[in-house]
Amino acid sequence: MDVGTGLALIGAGIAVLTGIGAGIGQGIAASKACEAIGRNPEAAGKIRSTMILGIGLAETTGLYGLLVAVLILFMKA
Amino acid sequence: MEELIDSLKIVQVQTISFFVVFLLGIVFVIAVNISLKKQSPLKATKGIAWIAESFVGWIDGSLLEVLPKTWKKNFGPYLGAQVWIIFFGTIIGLTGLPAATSSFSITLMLALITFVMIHVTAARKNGLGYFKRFLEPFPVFLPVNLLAMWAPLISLSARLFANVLSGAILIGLVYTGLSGIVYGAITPIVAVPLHLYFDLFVGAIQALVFMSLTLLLIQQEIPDDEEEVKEVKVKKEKIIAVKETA
Repeated sequence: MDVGTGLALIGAGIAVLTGIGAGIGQGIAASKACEAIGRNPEAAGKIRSTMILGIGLAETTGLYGLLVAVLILFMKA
Repeated sequence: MEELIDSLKIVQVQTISFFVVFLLGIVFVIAVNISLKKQSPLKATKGIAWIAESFVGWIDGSLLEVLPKTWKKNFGPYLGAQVWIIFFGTIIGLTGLPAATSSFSITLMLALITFVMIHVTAARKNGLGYFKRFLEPFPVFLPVNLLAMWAPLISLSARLFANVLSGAILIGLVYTGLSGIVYGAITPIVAVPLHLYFDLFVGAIQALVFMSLTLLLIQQEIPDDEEEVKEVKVKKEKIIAVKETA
């Protein structure tokens, strides 16, 4: 294995670090949803579906990183 | 014969899953039609027709939350088909076939339909004013706007593809990693909950997200709620009439 491949693998590893941002975003969404349900328990159903939608969107940024990592792996390794 | 087999090899495996989903839809529609003929109009619907009724009701309900009523007839079926293909295209991974949405071609196709629909709607509703968006805020921004135009297409297709791909990678890791331990005996215990999450849950969530985003993107292109416009006109006429009488 030459140095270029090794660096590409490190790059793929770094690309997956986007998961940090997605994780923080999802955590914020969930905590705010908890607060909202605590304040207004009647709207729990609507808050839950909105939260799941928002989490699904926040997840995407993390998955873009995964996509880049997979692309690097297929191109280089 | 050999030529035929060779030509079939080029076809991605996901195409077969896609056709299975497509056939499933046709079978479902025929079953609903048969079931509908048996229903009595005085009683609540039963059986498979009830499932179809709640599905259509849910689609129409979410459509009416964002779009004017006139859109229900033409746009509802497209949304329904989209949700059907994404949901069943993802959970078909449970049967052993690869998930249809794990092919970028299929997610790109789904996003492309939405993308074309957005721009056709914008062009129909705004006329020549449609081209104004490329010159905003200044005509200098034309190249930037021409590039930014493709963002929804790429984000929609890559989102769905990456979600299914991440599940496939993780489940594949579990299967290969655990195959050597105790002759692979603990694989089913670990893999089944993962399949539940990555196939069923992700499929449902992504179908919902894709539908909501399609609705929101199209809603942006409609200048005003058509019914609201009518109401405003009526109100203006009333005000004018009141002024005239005064």
